[in-house]
Amino acid sequence: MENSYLQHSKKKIIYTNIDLDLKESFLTFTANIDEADLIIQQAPDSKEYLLKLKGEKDLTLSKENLIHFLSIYQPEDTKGSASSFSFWTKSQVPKAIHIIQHAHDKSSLKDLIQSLHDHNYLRDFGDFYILIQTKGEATARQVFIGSKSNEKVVSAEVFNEIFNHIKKSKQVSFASSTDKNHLINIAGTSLAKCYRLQTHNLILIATKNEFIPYAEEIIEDYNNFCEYNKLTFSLLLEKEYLNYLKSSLNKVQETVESNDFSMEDKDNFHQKRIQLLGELLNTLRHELSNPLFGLQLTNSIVSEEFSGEDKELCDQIQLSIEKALKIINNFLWLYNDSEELQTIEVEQLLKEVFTLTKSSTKSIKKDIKIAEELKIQSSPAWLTQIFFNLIINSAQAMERAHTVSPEIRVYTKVGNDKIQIYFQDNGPGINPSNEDNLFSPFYTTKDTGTGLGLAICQNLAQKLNGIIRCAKNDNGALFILELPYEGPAHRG
Amino acid sequence: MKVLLIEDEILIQKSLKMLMQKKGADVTAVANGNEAIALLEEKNFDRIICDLMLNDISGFDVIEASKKRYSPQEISNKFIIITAYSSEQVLEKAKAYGCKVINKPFENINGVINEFLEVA
Repeated sequence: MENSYLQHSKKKIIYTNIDLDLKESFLTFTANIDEADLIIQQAPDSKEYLLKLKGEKDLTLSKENLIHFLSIYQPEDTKGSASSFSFWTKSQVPKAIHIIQHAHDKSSLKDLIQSLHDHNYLRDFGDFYILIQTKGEATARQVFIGSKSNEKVVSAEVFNEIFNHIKKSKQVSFASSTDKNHLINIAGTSLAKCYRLQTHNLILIATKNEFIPYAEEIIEDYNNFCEYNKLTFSLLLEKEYLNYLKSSLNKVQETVESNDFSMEDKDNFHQKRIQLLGELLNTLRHELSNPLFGLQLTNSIVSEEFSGEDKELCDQIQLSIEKALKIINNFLWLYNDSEELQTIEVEQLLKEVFTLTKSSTKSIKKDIKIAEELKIQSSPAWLTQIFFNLIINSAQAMERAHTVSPEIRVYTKVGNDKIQIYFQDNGPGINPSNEDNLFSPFYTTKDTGTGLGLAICQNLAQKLNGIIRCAKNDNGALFILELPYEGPAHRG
Repeated sequence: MKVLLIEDEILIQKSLKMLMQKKGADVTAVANGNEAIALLEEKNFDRIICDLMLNDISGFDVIEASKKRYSPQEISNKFIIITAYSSEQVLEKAKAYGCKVINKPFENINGVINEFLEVA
């Protein structure tokens, strides 16, 4: 391997002959191992890496920790702000490595700080108050780490007040009489740093509860400790958050898989899922509509500069953006507040569901015969669920049976006080032995089915004062959704 | 007219700034709430257009902070809230400040720009 090299833009020179495969573009290359302050080499006989510092002991690191360490060089923004670089001194390197290695088996920032405290690593600084706010939440955690530790919840307002106070003052060291001390109950001088990280906002306060001011070197040390390990802290916070999300999801999963499930529980669970889905879609819509709107605005400005073909392109861009916005709005409508009844155009809803199921129904012929402008009062979310389930069931059955020219026909029959929506396919149909159990919970003939689909749909239909029947049919499967109908007088 | 635009979606920010400047306004644009609060402490603005969901704090936090400089009446006249969220709570809160709320995306872009630059 050719000798490659990295030069730090603050003229700290790193020499390495390993291709570390780093994406960072602010690192440039230079030569001469003798000039280097830091040398990175492959450790002999091992997969790890040696970090050599002039006048210091060699340090060994795994590749993961090495990359982590080098990424601490990254400036906060691409303009290369001084913050990360200027604190890097030779003496910080071993400390930072130590902390990275220390953090390796910790599952939370609290654990890391506690561990560092217990190992007397933080004795110069004193006890710690860590305030952590997951971005967007109305509360934050305040964790005290000392010989005894405790934790409590504070409001976002208090968190912000402390955060802003620290940020505005631009200092690291705070006198005993400072405002923020009241908010946390600190008596004495303290050291404080605050950060906006990827997924969290973080405040780190250290105090010995003394009235003597901290020495200059300790203040600088604290600053370095926080700045230099900020990335490690951020990663631990994200790790903890991810684990929390995973365990919440697992709890939901476990509840579903447990057999002691009354229909009410299943229904509740389903309701919560719909609600969660609705919320997710809501968030998605807002997250997407902002950038789309930005594109729309910019496009309209740019389009003024063009004429002819180029202007036509801009018009196309406008149409595409409008289409994207419409799709998002339509999906949101399908999943909004389930309990409310709304006027629904049956044909339109059906088409939306076919769009939702596109990946499964692409190659299936659709024959839709619904009276145009047929409207009913019902719940869009629940109807969507029922249509969706019946259509997906057909599609999957026909795929498993390799039905030739698969087709789904949907048509309606309107009576005086009820309406019937027929879902007919030309697939393998329903096996007579399965008929009785069709709508039973947990009954499934699919390898990967939960058996809940039709049971839930039946439940939803009943909630809408309707019912789903399975009819005998020679051509395939036929399901009929029957719903109450107000009659033509209520159309429009 | 001196306008302060607080919007963190870059394309929206740049476009709205350009569109207002074309109509002769003097526009300062920032992408986060804390910068806006700092600016509001230093300077006076005739119009403040504020997105609600900012990276660091909420648009309402900015309005609260501006109370140091402006009376409730001035706040009601100067601030226009733009937002993609149109929930009941948001509308209620805006009503409490007396501020106009305009939903993103704008259907009539030109009309909205004129509304922005309407003398209070």
